[in-house]
Amino acid sequence: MNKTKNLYGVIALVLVLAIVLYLMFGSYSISLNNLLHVLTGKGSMTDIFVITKLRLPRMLIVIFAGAALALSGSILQSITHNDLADPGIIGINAGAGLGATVFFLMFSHSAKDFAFILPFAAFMGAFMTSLAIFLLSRTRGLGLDPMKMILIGIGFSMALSGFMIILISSAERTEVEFIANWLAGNIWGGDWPFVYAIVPLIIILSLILYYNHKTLNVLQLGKDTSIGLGVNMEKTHYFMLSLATLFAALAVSVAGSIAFLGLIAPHIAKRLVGKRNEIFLPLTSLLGGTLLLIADLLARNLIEPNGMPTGIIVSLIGAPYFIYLLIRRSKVV
Amino acid sequence: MNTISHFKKRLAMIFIAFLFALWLSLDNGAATISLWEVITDLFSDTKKSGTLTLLEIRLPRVIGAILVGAALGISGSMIQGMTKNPLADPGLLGITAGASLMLTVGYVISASISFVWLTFLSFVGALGGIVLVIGFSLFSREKLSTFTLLLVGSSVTMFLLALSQGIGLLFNVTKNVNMWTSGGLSAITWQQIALIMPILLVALGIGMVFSKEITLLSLDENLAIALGQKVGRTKLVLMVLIAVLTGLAVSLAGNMAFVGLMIPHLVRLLVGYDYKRIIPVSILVGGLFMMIADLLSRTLNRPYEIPLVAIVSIIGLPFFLIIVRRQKGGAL
Repeated sequence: MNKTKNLYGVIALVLVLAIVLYLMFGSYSISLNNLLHVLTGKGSMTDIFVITKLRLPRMLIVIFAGAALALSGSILQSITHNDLADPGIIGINAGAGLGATVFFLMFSHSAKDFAFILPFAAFMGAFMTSLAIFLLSRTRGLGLDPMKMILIGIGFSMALSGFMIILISSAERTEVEFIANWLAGNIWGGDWPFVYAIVPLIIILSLILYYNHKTLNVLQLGKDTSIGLGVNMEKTHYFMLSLATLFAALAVSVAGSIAFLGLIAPHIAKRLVGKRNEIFLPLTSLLGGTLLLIADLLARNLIEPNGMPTGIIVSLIGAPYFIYLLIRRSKVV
Repeated sequence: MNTISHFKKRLAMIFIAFLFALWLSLDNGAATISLWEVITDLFSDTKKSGTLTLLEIRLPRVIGAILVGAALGISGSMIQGMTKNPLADPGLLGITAGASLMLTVGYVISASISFVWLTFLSFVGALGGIVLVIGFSLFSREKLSTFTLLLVGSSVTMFLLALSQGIGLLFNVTKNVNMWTSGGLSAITWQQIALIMPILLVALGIGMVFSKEITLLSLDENLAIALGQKVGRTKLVLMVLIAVLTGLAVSLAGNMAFVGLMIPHLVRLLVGYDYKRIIPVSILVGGLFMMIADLLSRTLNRPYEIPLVAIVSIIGLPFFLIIVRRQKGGAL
């Protein structure tokens, strides 16, 4: 237990450090001193503007989107008993991508509200896709088979990327660049209205999930044991899958298509603290938020002038660390 | 139940479908050519232009489609059997990602890079990707479980993909790379086929030799060990086979991930779980599927082509849905 507490301390410390750096650096740098001034309300106008209007909302979006993706991944991995499950696999990223692309190509992007409608289009795309997958993976009388659902999800995401290819190959080069950026995971909704819309929802969903951590613990023991312990499988699956879908769709709608985070954050957490969800879930969300924040920090600062899509950085720093964890102690989890 | 004759009936049906698709593929395209006229024309001294089109453009293309489908079908069933994971596909071992990374690098070096170089680069990339995955698994302290192998594979895949996306965005070559990976068989020549055919046959032979081992592995790894099988060696051989087969397919036709995932599901539904049957039937079914996909990509919007990968995934989906929904209980 003590070890777990230390672990939380370390990760929380990393998060705080990342937050400070995140607020300090960008295309306009703010010194630590001036940052403190801003926090105490004595900063210059420019500094206050950059921090409160630009960086703070984006930072909140990034942290909560990361946490949401991580939680979505861990729910999916628990209920399907398959360590390869992540939100991308159940077609959510592809659906969001298609929604955003169709919107981008069909409607004028000089419109004033473009920035606000795009996340909504992405959310709708993700939501419709997962609804279709839900309906198709139901069997009459037997409820939902998670394994089937994943297979169907893979089928959908591949078919949707087929559509994307047709769309992209008929598009102009400049538009392709925008879409490619979006698909590679470019944080889009870094503004206060998105924070108000998304963050409370993610917090509420997380609390609901945490409240049900015992159910997840039981589900991990396998289907037969769960039924034996009195779990209503059908209802539980619907419930948990809806949570996972909502988490992922919310995150993807503002943060673009961030692949891989939902796969690795739960795995790293599992390797650090094991599978008991009351310890594991908070750590997963903390890790997800921290990872995405660090990735975005690097994405915005490493490559001038436009930065690099955050999703790419997630993979570039996440993958090596994850491989290291895997081969250092290849205990099957 | 007389399973042998049942199997033969199924096999005959698949074979007839295969021949039918072959006939359709050769007959139809940007120009419609009657196969009968061509056959009679073959024995005359002056060849018509239709005959030449068929022999030099369409026939290699159709054979190419069959080879690509067969290669992906076999490697897909091998990896699903070996890892006991119905979600596994050859793309998970870093193969397609490696190929697209090398393609991106190629385009960055020279925007007008030649076709032969691109094929070569993507094959090298495909092999490089899987070598990385195998390398990591060999260097780990303990022996990797198959599942961990898949995780290492998908991490390497994501890493390589991120690299190639990043480079693509930095150097503005995303569209070029997309055009290549979205595939197509339009430029296949007899030389390429002459190169690939023997490799495919050798791989098929080795696969058949190991079919019993794969069947055992797909049932229970411990059982395989208890029966005296050298599991580590078998896995290594299989990985090399998968790498070569998928590498070839990717370098010819671009990223066709769906085929490697879907064909094995279809084949298992048709002929059961014995790899002595699965491997040869995968060739027929994979080839059949790719032939139809290529035919559609050539003819739906003629004389233009629709990207092959789009056709593959869009007609693949309903197929895949039916297969998945028909499976009861365990998917493998």
